[in-house]
Amino acid sequence: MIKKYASLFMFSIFSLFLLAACNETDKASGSDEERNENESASEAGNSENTIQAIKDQKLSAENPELAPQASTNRGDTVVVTLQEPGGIFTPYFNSSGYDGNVQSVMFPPLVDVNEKGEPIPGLAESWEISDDELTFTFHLRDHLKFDDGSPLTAEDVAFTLTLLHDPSYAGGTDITEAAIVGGLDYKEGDATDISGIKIIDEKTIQITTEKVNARSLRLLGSQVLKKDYYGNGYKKGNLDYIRDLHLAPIGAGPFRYVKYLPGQEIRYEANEHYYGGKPEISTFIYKTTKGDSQQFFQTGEVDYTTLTANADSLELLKSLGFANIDLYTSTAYSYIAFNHNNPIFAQPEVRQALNYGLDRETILNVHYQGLAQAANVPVAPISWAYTDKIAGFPYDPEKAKKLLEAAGWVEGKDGIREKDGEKLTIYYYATSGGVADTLIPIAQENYREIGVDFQVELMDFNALLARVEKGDHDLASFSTPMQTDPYNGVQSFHSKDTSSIVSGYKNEKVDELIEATIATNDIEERKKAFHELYLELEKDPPLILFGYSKVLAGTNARVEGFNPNGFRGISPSLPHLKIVDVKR
Amino acid sequence: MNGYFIKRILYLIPTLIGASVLIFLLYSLVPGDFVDTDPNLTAERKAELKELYGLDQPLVTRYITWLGNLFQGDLGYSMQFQRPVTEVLGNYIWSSFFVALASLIITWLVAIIIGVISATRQYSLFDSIITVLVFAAMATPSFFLGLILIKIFAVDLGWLPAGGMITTGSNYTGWEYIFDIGEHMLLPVLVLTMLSVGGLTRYFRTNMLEVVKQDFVRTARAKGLKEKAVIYKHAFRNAMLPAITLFAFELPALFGGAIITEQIFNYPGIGAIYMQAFTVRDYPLLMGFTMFIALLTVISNLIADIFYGIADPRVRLK
Repeated sequence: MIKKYASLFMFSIFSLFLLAACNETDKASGSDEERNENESASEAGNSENTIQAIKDQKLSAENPELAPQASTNRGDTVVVTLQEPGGIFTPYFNSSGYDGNVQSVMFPPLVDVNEKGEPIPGLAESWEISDDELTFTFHLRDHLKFDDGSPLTAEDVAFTLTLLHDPSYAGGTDITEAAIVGGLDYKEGDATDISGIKIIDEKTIQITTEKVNARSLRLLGSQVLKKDYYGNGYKKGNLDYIRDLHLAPIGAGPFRYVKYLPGQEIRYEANEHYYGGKPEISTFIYKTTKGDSQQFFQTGEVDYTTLTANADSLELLKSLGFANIDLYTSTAYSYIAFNHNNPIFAQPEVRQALNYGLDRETILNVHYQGLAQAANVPVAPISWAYTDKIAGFPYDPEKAKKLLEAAGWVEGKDGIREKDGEKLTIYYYATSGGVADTLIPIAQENYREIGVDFQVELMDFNALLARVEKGDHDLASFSTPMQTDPYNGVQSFHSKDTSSIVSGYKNEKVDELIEATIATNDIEERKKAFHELYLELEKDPPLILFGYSKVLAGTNARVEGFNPNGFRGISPSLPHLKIVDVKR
Repeated sequence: MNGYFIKRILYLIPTLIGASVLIFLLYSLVPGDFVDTDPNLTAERKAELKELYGLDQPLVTRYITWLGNLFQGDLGYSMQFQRPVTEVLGNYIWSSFFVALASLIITWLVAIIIGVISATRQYSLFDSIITVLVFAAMATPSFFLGLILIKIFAVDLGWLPAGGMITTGSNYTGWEYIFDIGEHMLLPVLVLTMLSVGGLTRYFRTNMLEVVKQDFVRTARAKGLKEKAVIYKHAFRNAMLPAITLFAFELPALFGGAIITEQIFNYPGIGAIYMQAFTVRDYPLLMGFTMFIALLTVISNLIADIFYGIADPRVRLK
């Protein structure tokens, strides 16, 4: 009982704090006062209907003893939900991101990242970058072993990098970005090995590159394929044999692959050869689902799951009593792309106006009930590159109107702006079912107010991509995938980038600044470069930045050690999982 | 009879070719393909991959290649699974089949019993209540029915598992394994049965009512047979005749999977895979599966005609 009141008390304090935070931002709106990333709550509509921004937080279960019998009976087997993967469990060969999740349990990278996206040691104990930032030397940990007990050496690292240069490699990793010396001679020429890769001894490998690129460290220091397994029978130019190994992976992670039951589960067992020591739990299972997994968590069939991030799901988790709750920000951001080939968007003023004229905070608050925040820069607030010094485009219809006037769009008889006899009608494409359902009515009203006719068409994701590629759209809603480096968030703005969603955007200064963000390995210098770039992007917006989303994860209190973050999800937590007795 | 049989089999060929044209065209007219699903690919990489998958070829060439492979029994290579389509279908189709089979048997048993009783006691209280119930079950969307059942039996009462086909992480063998699967199949089978039992019940009821009014039933009664014998021997058998056609039509449905029900119960069946294949535009899998169902449909048609001829001399063709 006391516990219950205590939590009630905590909750009221928490709400008071949020209210205070909210008032403060209201006062501060318009000024350049420092804004905390999580306090950007605004009042949605009238004051009765205020939705508060909810901070990233961890909440411990109030009644761990309520953990369902089904879960406690499982003993030291931990079950986590995952969307159905494609069944390609060899790193670098999968097309589905869920296969990536399956792999990350078994294949730790040489260089990992922490919760801020900064590089930390993985299989490599340490590494050196030469003064000209072109040569990387990786030092592997002592006594590294694959999960079959055989040693993991620099040979395996060299093999992995060579394999990625194979002319017949058809996966999604573009290793040429790292520009290893001699890499292209292998990929396109008839070289039999790559001259820039040098094995110094069993534990040391040196890689020389041709171009400074901040992303090279993680590209080169990625997951390791076992040479005498994945390279058994390898001849340059033919990788077909690897298909047969996709369902029999050998890695060096905390858990070893046991079996895959399509449509049901992927089973692993603790790996006694793992460099961090054998994990305490004996079995780890990914249970594959096709969407909703809430009922499995409620009945105890899974120990960890993520739910749709909104206040309702959060309440549900709290009401269960046995759930430890993790609410954290994802590395992705959502955006609305412009069709830059449409002459309407040639003037930056029009694009700025459409940014200012959209009340993103209201849309996000209504849809996610406080579990999302409007984006101001093209990187998530948890990244080291994030800054709150750049305002983004706070909702300001008056400013939007002025910008449109300045661009020569004047109000016509029916309230819709016109220029040279052409009405300002904009076609917006999106997939149905997501945030677009909330966005459409609000955006229609918002844009109507500034004199823009907003037309909508909903379709499924593939049709959306295909039509955007054809250039049928004016605006189209998308979200980025997870971003391990802030460079991922801006690379498509480069005029030489050929990805299809943001095509036709051209700004020489932006190009230069984008290049500058990867031209050094020094994080402080990169930070500066990013901030400069973000400022420049405000003058000539390549897209409408929309929002940062959160991930809501529930853990059954019988399992301790889950500590998910936006960059690596749960994989860093896996070696540290522990079962606790909740039925005391 | 033999000539007729051969003729019917020959008819199958143009029918199937027609179906293959339709299936191929419908899928290739949908905007977007497998390579387009990945927004992270560069234009060059996309072109490379499209060439690799043959997606850059003109429609007619693609159709002819596909048809040619089809004749050799090769349904192609699933793009998302990177495995042969036949293997992917094999992985999922049997779990769908067993659920469909269980539901089929129960549906027919229940529908026949209820249909006959309803007919013999037309407009009675039993008839009215059953009519209301089966219509209500029929009218409820499957996702709603499924979620309600999960809520009641799995979450609140905790009697049955909330989904899946086996207990996660279990290592059961033998009877334990079969029992485990049975437990997981119960709710999906219940939903499928509830959805289909309504239509079938009405069908049998109407048939029965029609037959009971026929002259031969009156004759049977007139010669002094017991009511039970009249209904269950004379009337029932005749009322079941049209059901042969209906039953044969169930054959493709046995392998077709149940898209929504499987999705809700997280059941590893072909219906859910079909839906997933559609969202990533895995055309070889979609076309292969649809073609398979088309084949089953024409075959079941043939079977229906043949059985009907055997069972009812009146329609036997000369």
